[in-house]
This record gives sequence, C-alpha cells and structure tokens, in this order.
Amino acid sequence: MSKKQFLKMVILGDSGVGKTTLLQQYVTQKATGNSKPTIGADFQKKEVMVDNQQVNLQIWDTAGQEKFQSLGYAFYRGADSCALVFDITNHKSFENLAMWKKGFIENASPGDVNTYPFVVIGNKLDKEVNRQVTSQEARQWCKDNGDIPYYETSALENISVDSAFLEMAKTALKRGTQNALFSLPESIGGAGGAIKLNNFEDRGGAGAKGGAGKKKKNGTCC
Amino acid sequence: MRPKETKGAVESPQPQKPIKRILLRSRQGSQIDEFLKSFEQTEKLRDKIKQQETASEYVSQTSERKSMRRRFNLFASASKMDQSSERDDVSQQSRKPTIDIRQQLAKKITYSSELDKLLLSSSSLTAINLDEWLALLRGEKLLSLISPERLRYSIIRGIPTKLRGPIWCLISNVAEEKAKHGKKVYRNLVEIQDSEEEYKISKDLKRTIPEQRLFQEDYKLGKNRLYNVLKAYASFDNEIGYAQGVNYLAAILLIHIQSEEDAFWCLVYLLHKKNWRMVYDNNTPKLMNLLSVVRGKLLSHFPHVLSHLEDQDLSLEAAFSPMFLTISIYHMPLDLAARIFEVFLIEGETFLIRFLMKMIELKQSKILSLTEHELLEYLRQGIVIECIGEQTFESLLDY
Repeated sequence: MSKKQFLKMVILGDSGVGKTTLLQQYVTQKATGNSKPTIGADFQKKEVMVDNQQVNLQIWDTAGQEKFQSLGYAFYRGADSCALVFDITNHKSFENLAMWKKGFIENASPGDVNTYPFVVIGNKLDKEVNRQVTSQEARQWCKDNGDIPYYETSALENISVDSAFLEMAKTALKRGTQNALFSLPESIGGAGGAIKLNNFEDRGGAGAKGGAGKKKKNGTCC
Repeated sequence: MRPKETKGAVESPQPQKPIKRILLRSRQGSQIDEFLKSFEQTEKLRDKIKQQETASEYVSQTSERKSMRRRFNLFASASKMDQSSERDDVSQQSRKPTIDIRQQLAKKITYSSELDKLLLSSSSLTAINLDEWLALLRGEKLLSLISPERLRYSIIRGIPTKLRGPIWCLISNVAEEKAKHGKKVYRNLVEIQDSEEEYKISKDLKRTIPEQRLFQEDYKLGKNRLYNVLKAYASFDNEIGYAQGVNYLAAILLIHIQSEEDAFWCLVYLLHKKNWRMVYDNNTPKLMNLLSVVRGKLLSHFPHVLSHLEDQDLSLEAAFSPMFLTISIYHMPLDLAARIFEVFLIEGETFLIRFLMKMIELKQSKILSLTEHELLEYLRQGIVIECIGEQTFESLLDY
C-alpha cells in the first residue's frame, strides 16, 4: 500500500523527564532544554517515511504531574503507540513507569496489551555522570513487561531521538496491518489524516470501548 | 463619565521603579499603609499618573469611536446569528455592516455616551478614579462602602497599571489575613521541610516564565521569590501541595506585588478562600466540571463548533485546560495576562466561561476554518489576543 498513513502517538512520563524537549528535538531538530512545563497536553505533527511509506505522525505531549494524569485520558484514546519516558538521573521517574503504563492501558483501550507498541525511553544521556538508573536495570524492566524496545536518548544533544520515534512508528504500522486484515482502510483521504477510522484498535466485540472519542465519519466495520 | 482607556493599560506595562523603591522601604508592618504614606509624599509620581491619564484622553476619545463601532458590529452579528451554521454567511456578517456603521458614526459621535448607557448593563455606574483608589489604598475610605457592582465595573474598565499590585492586595484582604496570622507564619511555611514538594517546585522555577530574571535566582539561598511563595502554599495546603499551573498564578502576582508575603496571601485568597484550589486536586475534579459546563454550552449554542472540534479529534481538555489551570497566563503576553487575572480575581470562574463563550461566538467562523494544530493554537491563544485587540474588555464579558 502506498497510501498515506496516519498514526497517533503519546508521550508519557514524570514531570521534568524531558518529554517536551524530546518532541521538540524530533520535530524541529533543535531543543532549548528550557521548555515550559506542559499544561494539559499539546501535540506536534511530523511527516516521515517508514519502509517506503509516507506516514503522518501526530504526537501528543502530556503533563507529567501525577495529579493531572486523568486529564490525559482524553488524549490516550485512539493512540497507536505510546512512549514511556524516564530520566536516567532520577530513579523515581523510572519507578513510575509502571504507573504510567497502567494508566495508559486502563484508559486507552489499546486492545491486546502484549502486542501494543510501547517504547521505553531513558532520557538525559548527556547527564551520564548523574545516572541513577543503569541500562541493565531498565532493559530488565522492559523485558519483564513484554519485551518493550528500550532507547537511551539525549533530547538536548539529539542522540537516538529519531530512532526511538521511528521504532514507535514502525511497530505501530506493523501492528496496524496485522489488525487491519479484517477492517476498512485506515484513513479518509483529503483531511490530512486527522480523521481516521480506528482500525488500529482491537475489534474484540461490538460493545468494546475501542476508539471512544473518535468521530466515525463513514460508518464502521462492525 | 470618562471611560478609562483600558487598552492603554493592557498594552503598555510602565516601568515600575518608583513604586518598587517605595514598596521596598515598607517591608514591615501594615505594608500598604506605610506604602501609601510614602506614596502621599511623592506627589510627583501622582501627578505623573494624572498626566498620563489626561494624555490618554485623546486616545480614549478616538478609541471610544472604535469601541462603539465594535458594539454595533456585535449587534449586527447577533441579529444574524441564525445563519451561523453557514460558514460563508458568518464570515461576511462581521465585515459587511462595519462600513455603513463607520459612516454613521462619523456623524453621530456625540451620541456615544448615550450609547454606552444603552449598551452596558451597569449604565449608571462610574468607575473608581485615581483619587478614590488612593483613598481606598490609604485606608481613608473603606472598600466595603463601594458597591460590588461598582468595584466590578471599575476593574473591568481597567485600573491604573502602577497600582495594580496594591489593588489586588486590597481586593484579596491581604492586610487583614496577614494581621490575623501574624508575621512569622509565612516564613515558617517557606521553611517547613518537604523534599518531595521542594524537588517538584525547583524543577519548574526557571521554566515558568524564562524571560523573568526574578525567578532565575538560586532558590536554596532563599532568593527565589517564586520558589518561596510556591513552597509556602504547598505547605499551607498540603492536600493540594504544589500543582503545575499555580506557578503561573504566583508568577503574575509576584510581577505586580513587591512583597512575596503579600503575594502569598493573595494566592491563598484566590485558591483557598475562593476555592479555586479544587482545579488542582487529584484528577482535577473542578476542571472537569468546568469543561463539562463548556461542553454543555457549546452543545446548546454552538453545536457546529463542538462537532468541528470532534471532527478534528481535539478534546476540550486539550483546548481549554491551560486557560483554566493558569487563568490564561500560560498562553498570554504578560500585560494581557494581568488584565485577565484581575477580572478573574473579582469575578471568579463564571467570568472565564462567559469570556470563552463570547469569544467563540465572535470567532466561530474562524474556528470552523481552522484545522489540527492551528486550531488548537488558535483556541488557546490567538482567539483571546484577537478578541481583546478588537473589542473592549467589557463587551467581551456580556455573554
């Protein structure tokens, strides 16, 4: 298929781990490292080529304070991929990955959790001297949580940022095609991909919550 | 009645040095009283403000014409509201009548004050003038003797920029709170140990308003006023603790109020006494309520706007959370933010909702023409700046 694809991604993790800077670096290729705290949520767009296919990414950046987690639920829905970010110099932010993952699964209705395209990002590699979380420890957690791909990045110095996001896009697309065997085309042409059918959702049953919040323009496959 | 030039107040943050110096001198005791005593002695400054007011009268007169024109436009658009679902009609309605009315206005300009009376609900009120504000600040006149309607009207009309901080404190009963709690309370609250809250706050200091040097100082040395006020609040209200969003409220207070202790009590008034704090409670219950009010209003008055947002997969949470969580400060230029903040201080949450609805009413055609990120940006920022640039502040509150 050479049709335009649309993917929605979300970035989760504690406040101050560098979510906004990661996104800024990925989308604009520059980062100041002094971004405002994200209030509520924000998103950026980027067009990339994945396996010879043009893909429109819509990446949501969320507030990191725990008390605002429920505010994010509205943005989780319909996400095709999710990055769980921690700061390698802050062990607490690593411990909280489990909480972020749980919150996401409970609210995004991601279908089969085991195949859901998560990516774990350990950020602030530029502050290696202050490291509190070893690569080994992080890799082990990823392994225990369903073999989630793990990336260590520096949003500030643009280390491995592209590859982490690309991995998200790839696995999301792959999962999409697998799930799409029984569903309709994934986007309605012309609207820049903003409106899409939720073919990336698990279509377990007619009453499933999948894709709640999405406007279904042309009817659904169910 | 001389309408105060509200736009002037918004657009030109005056250098505040003279007042700063005076305020610094009056660090202790009933600060406002002392400040005002010294203020009285500096007649120069007072004259200066008066001169500025007279100078702005010219601007005021010309802008009165503009504002009248705008109000006519509003009426014209209101009468055409039923066509609002047709995009083309909506975009025309705001332009077409302007030309005729501009011509009419050139002849009928003397009618302006009558028109004002006709159009403003608070027609018989006069705004509090400079002398009266000074008398209130000096304690020569009691705020309780001013009717709430008149106080509200005066704030909406605009207050002298240089007296902004003291007037905010006056409205928030800061002197009274301070007297009630004693002097040591604030310092103690700043110093209570709580490493988790301290860490959370410290991460946001430099990035709250990066261009404000005031907030870049080392907080460990006690020099960072933003840190001190946020820490004091987190200790004062440990159920809420430090919540992102509150940093913007504290920052705007500190920009206009010299004493951090005063700014703190002002914050307590807003969050605690006015119960705005529930916006920042776990899972933001009050924010959710406010957003569902917005949803309800959109559904009954502007369903096409709501369905456009849904088509664009933009939730109300995404579009309007920053407006409520930071009372618009997050996305606004600082002078405009102060203006919105002080109206909020006196009007509370209903103001934000009316304000938002009015803006959506005025800009629905533009909203419908935008998509994706542009739409999100516009709803958070562009719409406010555009509306305040084109309308008088009071006309934006008459929804």
